[in-house]
Amino acid sequence: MFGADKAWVRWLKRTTVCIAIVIASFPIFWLISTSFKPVDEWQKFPPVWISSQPTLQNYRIVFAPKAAQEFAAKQQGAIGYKVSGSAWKAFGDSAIIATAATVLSVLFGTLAAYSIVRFHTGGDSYPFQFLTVRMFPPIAVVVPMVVLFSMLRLSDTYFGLILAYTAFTLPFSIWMIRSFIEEVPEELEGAALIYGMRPLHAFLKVTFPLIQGGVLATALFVFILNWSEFLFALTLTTGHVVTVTLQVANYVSASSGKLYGVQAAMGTVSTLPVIFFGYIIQRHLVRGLSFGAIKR
Amino acid sequence: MSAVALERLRKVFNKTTALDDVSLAIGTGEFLCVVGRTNAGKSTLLKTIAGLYRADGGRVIIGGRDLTLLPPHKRRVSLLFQNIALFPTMTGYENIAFPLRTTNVAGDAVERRVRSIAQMLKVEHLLDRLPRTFSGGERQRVAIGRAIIQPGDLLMLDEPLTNLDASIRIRLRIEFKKLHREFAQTIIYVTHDQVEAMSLSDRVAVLDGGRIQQIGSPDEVYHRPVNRFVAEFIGSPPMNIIDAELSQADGRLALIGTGFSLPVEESEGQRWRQMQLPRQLAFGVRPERVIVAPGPTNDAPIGANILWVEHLGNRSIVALRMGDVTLTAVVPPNRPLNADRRAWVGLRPEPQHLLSRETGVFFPLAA
Amino acid sequence: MSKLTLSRISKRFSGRDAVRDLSLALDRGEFLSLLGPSGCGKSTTLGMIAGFIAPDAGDILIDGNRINDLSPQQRRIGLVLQDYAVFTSLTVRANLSFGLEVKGLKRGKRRQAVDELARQLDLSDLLDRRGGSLNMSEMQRVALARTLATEPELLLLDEPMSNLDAETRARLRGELRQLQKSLAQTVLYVTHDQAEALSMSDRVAVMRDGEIVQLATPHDIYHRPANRFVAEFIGDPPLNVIPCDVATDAAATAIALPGGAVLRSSALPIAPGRHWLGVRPHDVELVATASPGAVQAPLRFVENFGARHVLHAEYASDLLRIEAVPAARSIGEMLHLRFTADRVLLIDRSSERVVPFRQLEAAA
Repeated sequence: MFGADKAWVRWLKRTTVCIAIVIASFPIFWLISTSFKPVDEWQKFPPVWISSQPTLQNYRIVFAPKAAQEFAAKQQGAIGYKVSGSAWKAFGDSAIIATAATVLSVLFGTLAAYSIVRFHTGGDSYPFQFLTVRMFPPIAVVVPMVVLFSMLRLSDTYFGLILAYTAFTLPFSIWMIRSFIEEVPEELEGAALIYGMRPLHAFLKVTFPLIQGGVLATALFVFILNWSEFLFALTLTTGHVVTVTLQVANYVSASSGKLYGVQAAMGTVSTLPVIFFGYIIQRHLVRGLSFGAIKR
Repeated sequence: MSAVALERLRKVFNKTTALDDVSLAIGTGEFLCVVGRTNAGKSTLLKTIAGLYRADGGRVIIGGRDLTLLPPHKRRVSLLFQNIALFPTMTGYENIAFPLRTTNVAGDAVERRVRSIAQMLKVEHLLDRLPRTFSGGERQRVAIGRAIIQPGDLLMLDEPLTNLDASIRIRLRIEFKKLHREFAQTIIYVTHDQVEAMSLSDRVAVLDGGRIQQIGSPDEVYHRPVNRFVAEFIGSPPMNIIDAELSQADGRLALIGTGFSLPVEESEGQRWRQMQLPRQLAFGVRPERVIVAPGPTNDAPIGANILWVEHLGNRSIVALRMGDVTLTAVVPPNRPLNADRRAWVGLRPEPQHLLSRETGVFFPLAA
Repeated sequence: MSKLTLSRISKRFSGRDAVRDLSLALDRGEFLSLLGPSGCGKSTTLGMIAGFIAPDAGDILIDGNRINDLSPQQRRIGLVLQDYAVFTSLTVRANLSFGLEVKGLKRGKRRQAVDELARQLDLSDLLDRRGGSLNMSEMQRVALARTLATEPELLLLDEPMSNLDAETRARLRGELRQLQKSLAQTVLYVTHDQAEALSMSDRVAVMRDGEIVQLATPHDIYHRPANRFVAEFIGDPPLNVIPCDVATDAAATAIALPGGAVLRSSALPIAPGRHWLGVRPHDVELVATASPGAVQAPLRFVENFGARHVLHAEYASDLLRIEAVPAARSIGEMLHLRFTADRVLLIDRSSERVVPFRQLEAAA
């Protein structure tokens, strides 16, 4: 603010930022790079940064297993494998589960948040109470969950997983949407009520338009959580329902061990829906992200 | 039957009683101002009448209907909030037309009403714009338009001028009087500025600590305040309240204090005696009734030191130290009075302005 | 040498001139108010003096030294803002010692200084209270004391009373002024309230659209405003502005008012035609019956302030404000009014400037 930074301070700031960028983006770079590597380069040491013999075989295995098998038969050094499940099914299942769970989580989250903010439901410490639920490491509740699910015949069902995901992301939804609702002055709804609108109507027409950016931002975060969730997917399913994360774990062969390249390919592709989702709501995203941060 | 009747209204938040047994009756078309300090309960009162808060006791009766248990959208009252609360995603037109959404008024009738109100309030140019482009005064006027387009049984205004510049405030004040004249609505106007309350109201209700201290016409609350709070709150500068002792020497009554002795006129003496006053009491004198002179005169025999002088152009306010009492006086402008000089003051205690030191209540005059 | 000199400072924000070529000199121990409506540039000017905003052009000098390049901490200027910013979690004593600690004063000296300051601002009883438990007026005194503790060269106050009740405001005005005088502190006070500016200042700078429109003592600002804007901005109730017809020749000027009254003066430097006459409500006299020089106006509204009434009468298609003693009057009653000739303001319609005159008489 007062006087420009000295030269070495500037240099230090820039270098630090560059290092941070490199560290943050390295895993993504590695992922994409590995997805194009042939099998002999997956675990080579010293590591191969960018493949000298890029191949689409990994992608073939993911998307067109039959074609991949034929290719492997013809090539020398290409892996032979047998993989359970199809990537397409995994994408489909994940899409259904993640989307449904996100919608439910955000829907109930909004209603609950509204109730908590406007009517002080549950008292002053309620928000903190349900946040502590989220603080549980999921692994601690996995065993009871498995038992519960089998008792309720929810194991390995779409509904079961959707329910689990909704339950676990609900505190997060409520917490985030709560701060957006708090930004909307009570008097606005009050004015709508006094001038003749019924409460639900007032919420939909007056309050909701003002928080929709925040709700979308929350939806995006919840979707990411659901899409990349692994532990519950692993423990609460037994093969009928396969999510993207499970499918990645499935790429293992007796002969070659973990098929890193294929996993990388699957991983690369599975980031695309999230990026797509983020892109179409980006207009609302910036406003939503900063809105909650500004304390009235 | 009054237009609005509040019977022993109570509202409690956590452990604080915001409204404590508030009762009042307002006639149809009356302009009532509720004045008090911040946090006296004024906004709470309006919100409870509107139904945004559920009363914890008492009743709200408007237009003959008991509204106490009704939700806000059924109450037929208008409330103009202190922070205006225009709907940010709607245009000026849509904001003003809002109260008519849930009614059966036909489309073109709505349009006509909105345009005529917009014209009266001089906000036609704002009808197609969003509130975030309006200035403070413009938002105020659009909010007023929204509040009056569907005349209900009661119009309530919560400190509508507080957030505006002093110069705009003074000018907009008269617009409310004009509005009231034009629409003859029953109005409750809340403010912390007693000047506004005095200027606008048919009657003033002074609220403190959730209780109504006094309701009366501006003349009543000004000249016959019921207790110390009202006396000091109404009137700017506030009434001087001075502790004194009632003495009877040679059959003549006088009020004695440090640095002053004020004899009571013979003719008044009888009235005072009938009031059965205690020895230790206090008396009030309005600043404009304090006589200030540069030298001792019959009317101004008591010596005092001038602390400071404010020249406001059309009058001057003088603070004086008389004994151990600080007095405020209002005198005509351009008097040659300077700080740190000596001056002479005259006070004439009146029987209706004697109050108890302990309770702060003014003694009633003898019948 | 002046304590504070502003020499032709200006500031532009996103295409708009917030402050334009502004110059001002403040003497040691003087209380000067920057008075103007919201958006006139007064707070921006304050920000530049304090060092939070860098001027686009011009110099700021304290005791003759240019301080443009100094950071706020280096400028030794005290600042009290609208919301006081009292540290709520610290005691009043800690708040007051804050500035002194930063300066490096030793504990014993600090304690002494704090006690003395508390005594002067009537805070001695509050020293051990927590900042967050104070009411507004107490907070204002603490904020003031905290700034004064560091003995600043100059004290800047930005609308410090806006958040207070009308009642508290009136009370604190006198106290603040007394304090300032006893400490001989140089003060620059920013406000939009003309009563505050008139009552407390040695001089008032009226600002509009980034410029100082008039700089004068409160007396001159009130009685000899430079133009229509100042005349209308100062005074409560506000100035009445009446259209009038001016006829002038080499020898005399005649001002004809609606309703028949005429005022005469020696020749004035004003073109004949339509102009304005400014009359303060206080200078409108109520006379018993129609008389020469008087105009008639029906009474429309009465504002009852207890000790005085402000009447609004219909005159020249507008409402005329009149200050009057309390009396029983009825709405619609015809009032007979005379304007105190010597105190009216003749306002030139094109330049909007007030045309001074030596003597004005009501013609028969």
